[in-house]
Amino acid sequence: MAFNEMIHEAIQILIWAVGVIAFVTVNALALVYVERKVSAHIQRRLGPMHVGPHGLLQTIADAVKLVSKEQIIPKNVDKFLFLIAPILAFFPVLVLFVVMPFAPNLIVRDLNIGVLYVFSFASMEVIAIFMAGWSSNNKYSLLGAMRSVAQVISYEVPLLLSVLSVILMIGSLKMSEVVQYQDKIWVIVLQPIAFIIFMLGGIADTNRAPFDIPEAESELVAGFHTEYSGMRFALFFLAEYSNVFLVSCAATALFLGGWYGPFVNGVHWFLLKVYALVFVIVWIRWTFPRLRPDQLMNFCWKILTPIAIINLLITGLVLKLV
Amino acid sequence: MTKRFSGPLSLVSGHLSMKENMFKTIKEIILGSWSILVGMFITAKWMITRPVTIRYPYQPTRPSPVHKGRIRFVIFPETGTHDCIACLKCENVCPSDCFKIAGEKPAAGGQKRPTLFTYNFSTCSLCSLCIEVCPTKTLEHSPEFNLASGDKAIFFYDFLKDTEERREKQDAATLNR
Repeated sequence: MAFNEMIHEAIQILIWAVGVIAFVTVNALALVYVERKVSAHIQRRLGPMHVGPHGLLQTIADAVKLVSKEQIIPKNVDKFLFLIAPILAFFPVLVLFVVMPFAPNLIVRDLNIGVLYVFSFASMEVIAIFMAGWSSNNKYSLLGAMRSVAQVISYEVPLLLSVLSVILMIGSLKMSEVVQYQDKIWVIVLQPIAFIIFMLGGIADTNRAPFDIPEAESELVAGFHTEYSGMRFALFFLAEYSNVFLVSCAATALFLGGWYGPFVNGVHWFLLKVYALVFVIVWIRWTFPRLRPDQLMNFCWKILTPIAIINLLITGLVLKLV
Repeated sequence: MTKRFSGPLSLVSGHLSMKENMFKTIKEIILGSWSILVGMFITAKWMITRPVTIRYPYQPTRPSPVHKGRIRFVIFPETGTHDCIACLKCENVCPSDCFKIAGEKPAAGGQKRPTLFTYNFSTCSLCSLCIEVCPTKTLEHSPEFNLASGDKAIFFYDFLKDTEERREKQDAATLNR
């Protein structure tokens, strides 16, 4: 009987794995398309229009192009780290889908430490970026990677402090309970400042929008993924867009009431909120100029962290007195 | 000169006292948040306005009447044809040797007229020197712009034939009107 159950489990795991990978890939393709279209309309132009109706198949064409490119490995790179880095960048994405509460019955594994799990794996991409920059044997890559590490580490602090305020209020790390707490009222109404800090920290965490110093160097000079071509670059790219999606997922689960909505609760409300947040993140990217590294650090340590700490204190006080 | 606002986010704030620093921080947060919102509303406005792109092959462009395209003969309204006297000035002045012209005086007398007038558009640089130097002002730029082709032979124009075709098209257009 135990063997039967094992087979049962194994098949379930296989189905979930295939489903998650398929969803991640299609989602990343869709997000790249959305970004190109939104950025185009903000700049009063049209974006991709030729490949497929209104350019819908453009990302597939780009993916095919990237896959068919020659994989160049420069001579003096640290072979092992160089080859491992893209995989390590993409791996947290797949792993984080396991706890995201899409619907009451659509969580792959509802871990007791769901929230902790999310943020511990979110920090793994820093390691991947640093490995990529270090092994590339390229001054500019190394500088880009170091700046990215400094940025992500410093923005994790207010991010986690804001999440801590929410968890303090809810009292559980389990993702489904975090969402179920919000059936009457969303957490964003109770903790608006925490939401703003979370969004800013999340955007900085994924090296995006006004905080994209590591990426910006790749436009201007080099950046940590300069020496990567073809499929490896595609993996970094995929990882970045999927991280944007995952940050929005976490924000929806923690602050915006997850799968709850007016008429019928379900996965459609969750996805709607997630994509609304993704749209806001893309909107922010094309509105603001890039922050300098020193402005970035200043903003984080002198403004965000004090506000996050004050928010935590107030939450604690209110919880104690009420 | 912009006023130097030294709050905690600027590089120069060591000279401020604790109280000043705190007030400046709060002021900076409020002003900063407001500017963020304003910026996002501006981009939102651009997001919903119509794009300015003209999708060229699928939508007609707005050709300019002063567009300087290939060289052609002027069809004068009084005579209904060109006024070239085969003086060869355009052939001599052209820096790219685009013209091949031959002309003769008709036996019955009258003006010298061209018998052969070919023009190579593939070497023409549109410098307009031939137009400036023509004594009868019989050369002009055409406003045509859809002139791309995969076959080089199309770019060797015979002006005499070309003028005939244009005249016929003009007559046909006036008849149809």
